[in-house]
Amino acid sequence: MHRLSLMRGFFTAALLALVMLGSASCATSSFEVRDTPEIEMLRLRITKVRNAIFETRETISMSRGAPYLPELYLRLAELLSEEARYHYQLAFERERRSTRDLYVPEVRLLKEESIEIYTMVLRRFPTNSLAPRMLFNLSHEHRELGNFDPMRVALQRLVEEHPTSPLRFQALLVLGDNEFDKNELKEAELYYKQITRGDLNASSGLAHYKLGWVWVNFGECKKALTDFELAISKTQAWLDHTEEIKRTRQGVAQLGEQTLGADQDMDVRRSALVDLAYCYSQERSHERAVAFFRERAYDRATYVIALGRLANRYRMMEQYKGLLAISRELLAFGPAEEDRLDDARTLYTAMTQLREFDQIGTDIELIASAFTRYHTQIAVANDVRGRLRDEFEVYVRDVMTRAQTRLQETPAGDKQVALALQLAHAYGVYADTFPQADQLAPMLLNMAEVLVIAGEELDAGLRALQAADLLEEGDERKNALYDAVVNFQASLSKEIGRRQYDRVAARAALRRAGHALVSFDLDKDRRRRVRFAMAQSYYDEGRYIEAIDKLSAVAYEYPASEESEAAIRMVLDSYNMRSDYDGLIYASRRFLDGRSPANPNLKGEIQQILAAAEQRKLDTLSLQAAGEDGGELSPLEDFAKIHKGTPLGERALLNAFVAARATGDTSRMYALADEIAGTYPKSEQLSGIYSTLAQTAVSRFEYDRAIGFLQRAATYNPERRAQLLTVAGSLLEELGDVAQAEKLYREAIGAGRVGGARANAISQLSFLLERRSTPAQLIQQLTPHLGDGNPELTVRLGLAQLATGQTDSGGDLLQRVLRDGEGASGEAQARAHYGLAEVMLATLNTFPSLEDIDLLQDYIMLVEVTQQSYLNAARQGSAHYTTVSLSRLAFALRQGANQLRSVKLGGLDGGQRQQVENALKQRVESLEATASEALDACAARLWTNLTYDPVVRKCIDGMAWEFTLAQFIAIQPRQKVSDPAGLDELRERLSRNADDVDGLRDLGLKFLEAGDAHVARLVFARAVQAGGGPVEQNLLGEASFRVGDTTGAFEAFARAAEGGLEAGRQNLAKLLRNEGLAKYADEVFKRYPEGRAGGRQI
Amino acid sequence: MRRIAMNSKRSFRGACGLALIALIFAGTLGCAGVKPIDLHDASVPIEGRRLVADAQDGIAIARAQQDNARVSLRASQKWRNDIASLKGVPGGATDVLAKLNELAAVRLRLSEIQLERANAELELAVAKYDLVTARVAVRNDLAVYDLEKLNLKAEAILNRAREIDRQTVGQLEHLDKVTRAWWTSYTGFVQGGGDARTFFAAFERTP
Repeated sequence: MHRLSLMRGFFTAALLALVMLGSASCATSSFEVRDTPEIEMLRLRITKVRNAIFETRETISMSRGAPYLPELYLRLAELLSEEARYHYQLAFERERRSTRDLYVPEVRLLKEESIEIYTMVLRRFPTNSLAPRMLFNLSHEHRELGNFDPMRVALQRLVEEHPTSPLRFQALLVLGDNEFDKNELKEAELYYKQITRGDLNASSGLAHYKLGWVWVNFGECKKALTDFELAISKTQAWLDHTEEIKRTRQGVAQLGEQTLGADQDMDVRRSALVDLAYCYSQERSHERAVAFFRERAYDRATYVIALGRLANRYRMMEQYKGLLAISRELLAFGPAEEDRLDDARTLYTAMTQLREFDQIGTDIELIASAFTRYHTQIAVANDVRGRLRDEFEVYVRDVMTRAQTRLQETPAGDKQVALALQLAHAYGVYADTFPQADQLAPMLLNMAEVLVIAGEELDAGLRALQAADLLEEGDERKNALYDAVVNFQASLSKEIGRRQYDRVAARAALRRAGHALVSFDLDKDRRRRVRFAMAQSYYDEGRYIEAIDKLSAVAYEYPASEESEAAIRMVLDSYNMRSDYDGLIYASRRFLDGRSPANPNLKGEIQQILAAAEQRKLDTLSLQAAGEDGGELSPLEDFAKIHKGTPLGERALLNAFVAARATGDTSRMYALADEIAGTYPKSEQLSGIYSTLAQTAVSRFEYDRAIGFLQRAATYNPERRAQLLTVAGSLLEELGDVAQAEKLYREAIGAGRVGGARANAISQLSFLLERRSTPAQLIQQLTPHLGDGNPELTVRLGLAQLATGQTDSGGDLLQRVLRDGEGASGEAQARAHYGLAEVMLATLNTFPSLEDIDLLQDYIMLVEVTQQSYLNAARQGSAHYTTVSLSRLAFALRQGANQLRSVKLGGLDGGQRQQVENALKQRVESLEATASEALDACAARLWTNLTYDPVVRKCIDGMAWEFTLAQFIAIQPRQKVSDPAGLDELRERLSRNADDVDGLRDLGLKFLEAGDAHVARLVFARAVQAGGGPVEQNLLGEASFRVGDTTGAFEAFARAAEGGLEAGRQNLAKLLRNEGLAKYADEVFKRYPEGRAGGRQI
Repeated sequence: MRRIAMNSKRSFRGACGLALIALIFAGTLGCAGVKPIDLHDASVPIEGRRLVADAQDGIAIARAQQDNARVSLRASQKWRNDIASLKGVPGGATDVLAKLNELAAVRLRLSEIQLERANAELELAVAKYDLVTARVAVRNDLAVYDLEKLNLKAEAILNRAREIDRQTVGQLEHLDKVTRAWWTSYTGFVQGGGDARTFFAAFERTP
């Protein structure tokens, strides 16, 4: 305390003096030297620590015997050490940090005092818990004073006496370091191993690290690597452990003690990783170097530094393979600083040494990036920039040139393409990084070459064009432009995998290059290719008009060349794309003529194109001719003239014919048909044409023409000949030319095969012969065709045989018809039934004389059967044979009655005789009555069915028909007259509307008045069919009357009268009077009331 | 209220339809004086309205073709002028140049004929529209028109169009002859060593 008071007084006086001096100096205004803030801070700290020392001493003095006294002494010693440290730092600062070798007496004094205190406490309190710490601090003080032996003693004591103290490891570390510093590596090793063998502690990593250096000094890199790796892993483990403790708050106090005295500024992980680089380079393969360091670096900075160290090592060793990978990593991850430039240089060297260019694109990018990042820093001087630019431009260019050589040596394939893509990328980087380089143009040309190999023709062209823009006028520029054109053209030739933008760019660039090339004198081959490329670009763009001209120019200028052939094809395709078929046709013809540049093979193709175009043109003309505005056939006819004698010409005429038909131009149709037949007599269409014309003629009531057309059609079509001739024959029949009709039917039968058209012809012939021939003639004409099995023929032949007494054979034929059933028409079946009734009648006629009752009974029964047969036949519904059946029934019954009347039976007595006679009389009366009824029914058909024929006529007269076969009224032969005037107009009108009743009537009247009643009859029949009324019926009747068709006339007049036309009524009466049926004529006026006026009378 | 709104919407739509029709055919409905038929007028049978709609389409198509023909003619005229003022023609190419000029002139004439044809086609489409509209109106007792007169008018235009078609055929023949002559001349010139750069560039159609 006493000393303290003195001390205090000293300080106060000093302070006062200092103040007074300061005041004096202020008063004298002398210059004052002030200390730096660091020194001011240190002085303040000294003051504070001295205060703390003072207070601690005070406390110690009042704490004798206290349990915390050792702690107070410890604190005092630490404060003294701290003050000593501040004094040292103060001296260091005053020396402006120029040296560490300083003479500071206060330091020694204070430290020795601190040592004394530690020694005293350890002696006085040997078992206190702070002993390890005190020993550690004591050793520290000794070390700082250079007392290494006492230091060692203290640390040894700590290690030996306190084996469980955490400070033990620190002590061992210091001991180890001490031995290491003396180059006593073995001893150092022992100390370090004591740490590493212990539990994980704060010094574990560091111990391994130092052990690593021990091994390094022993030259044992393998062991060194192991310990360096452990240094990293143990340090990381300790850090994880401390994190865990902090999180859980358990053992925090011990944690603090462990870190006491440790060198906290050292990043063991970083240092270990960096320092193991040497041994790595010795012991491990370069191949895994990057992966190894990457796995162990805990941050990027550590990674970069460690790799940098390894890179240095590899540089020394000239390990280029290792340097290649490491340089790439450093350039990729390292900060933008000067070291990166070295890395870039290293990468360049490695690439050139190893000739390793597989990743040249990315490598050049790394080198260029390192350069650019440094080059653009503000701090870099301009001259340095320029120098660096020149240096790195050479590097990049050099390595790319070498790579280009490698590329040319690589065989074509995926590998070459991959290298090309990389190299192209590298060139791109070069162009971007050194846009002002003198060698840029040649490099761009190289790039273009590379891009071609890579299949990037568009980019190749663009680069070539870019190079051309940089070059002076001359061969080099010309070649560059030419290369550009070729590349653009190649790009455009790829149809797929191209964006629209690329195509547009390629075309525009191609033309730009092409136009620029125009000013040069190119050799013939190049000129050809360039012009073709330019022309093709228009085609590609769809500017077909220009493409046609330019491509044609190429074709004509360079005939027999590849480009010429391609150009011609594109010209023709251009026309096609524009749907300009006229242009295509003319162009094709030009390319086919003698002066064409097309070769023979190509001409063959053009021929086909021309044919297709002409066909297309023809189709267009045909559509127009037959369309809404149709009728203009001359384009088709002109077309046919041009192609006369060819299938196309034939087709044109056929289409014109179809068009004429569509528009109803009949006269043109007829003319065209003649022209087709004349020019193309073997045309397969002629049959169809004439059939069509026949149809048209029939519809126009030009029957003579129709018959002629049908016959001509039959000539051209063997397969349909039978059918066509049959139709012609039926028309002739309607016109009264029976002989000719019969002839055509026979021809048709001869032309046809069994069934189908032949059957139809046979039927028609049968109908005709039935109406026109005698039974004997019919038998003679039809028997040869019996084998066809035609029911119409069979039934008529059967009836004819019956009529000539061939009852058995006739009956068989009739049975056959009925047996066939479904194949026979209603008329045929009706005839067959009638025929069988006639067979019964024939049997009756050959019945033996009725001499006894039995015969009589049989006869009567047979009569009844016969009666039923006729009635059955009458019920079949045939217009004619119902009438015939009724009439013949009457005939048969009357015959039977007569037979019964003449019966004379013998062997009967009077009474029996009388009975039989009475019965016979009744039977006869009954038969007569039935016969009369049948006749009446037959006659009644005149009015009920409007049927008038020879059989009905007889019935009207009360007489039965005496013959087996019915009789038909035949129409008279036609007297041909010339066509009346004004028919064309009517025909035209009817062609527009076939059901125009007024038109039909007018047409029929013209024929009637001209004397052609046959045709008029057909016209009026059509008019009635189209819905005509009594007037048309009446006219039909008149025409029928004129041709001799009384049956038809009767029906028509009757219908007219039914319809209320007075003229019909009058005509009907006249007709009947003409037939000698005046009584019936009168009945007309009773049956039909007076009709309205109008209509013609016969 | 809703019902009224719907009706007014329909009549509004109908009015718009009529207005649209009037707009499309403004200036083209000539002295025939045929009143347009509203395509949405339900009182006119659907078949009739379809016919009228088809005829309207015909006018639109014909007008588009007329526009195309005009564009083509302008292009031909421009090219003709460019050829007439062609610079840089090498020596010894007088005949070649003359043939090229002739080709340009013939192409121009063809374009003119094609425009005439397109004009006729448009006139015909309008005439047909009038005729179809009149027919539908007459059939449905909407109005009374002289159909025969309208028919004759359409036929007259059709005949004129056919005559132009014949002229076109003739002009195409002529063009073919001239084109052959031009290429013969061109081929002779280039194969005789002439420099065809100017002519090659002359085929460019600058807009």
